[in-house]
Amino acid sequence: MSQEGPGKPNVPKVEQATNNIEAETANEEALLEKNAAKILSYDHELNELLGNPGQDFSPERFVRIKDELDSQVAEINQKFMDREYWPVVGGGIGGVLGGPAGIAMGIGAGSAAAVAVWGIQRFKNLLDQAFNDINATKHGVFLDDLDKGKGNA
Amino acid sequence: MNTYEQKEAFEKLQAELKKLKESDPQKYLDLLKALNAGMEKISAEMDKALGK
Repeated sequence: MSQEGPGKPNVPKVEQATNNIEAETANEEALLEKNAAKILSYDHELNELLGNPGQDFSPERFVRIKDELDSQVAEINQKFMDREYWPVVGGGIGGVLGGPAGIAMGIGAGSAAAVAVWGIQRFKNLLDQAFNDINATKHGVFLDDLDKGKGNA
Repeated sequence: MNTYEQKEAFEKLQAELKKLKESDPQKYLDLLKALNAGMEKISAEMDKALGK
């Protein structure tokens, strides 16, 4: 392979830009795997909070996260995705992508992003479900108490 | 959605993202950055909410 002139090879600018994008993409994908694993791990913590009536689950603490998730899903959907992608994830908790098995499955090009997109959507669904359950429970308890004449939710 | 349907949906998503990576690397990179920034925000908020 010939080089033009002394010193560095004459790498065309387009090729340099491509190399930069590839390097940056590799870094972001590596970071994404860590971030996605962390997001998926919250499934477990949230389930524990919700599944244990003795725990002090305060929906107020999660309102900001819920808002954040809503806006991110909207932004990613609008900027990068066709609308068909989000709904297919569904609201199922657990399933094929739960925890490390999900991450392990996501090996290959495009996988880190897929796990991340999936993870965010799953987490949003889980939190939505949590809010629905809490609201339903509070409402139910309130009505029960009224029936029993306690009058205290 | 059963496990098989979830797997299929995930694979579809994966294939589309692979296609995006090949056809428009810059847009794919922008997506990765948006996802990372978003997940870091969510994690920080979640840790706060869980009292960590």
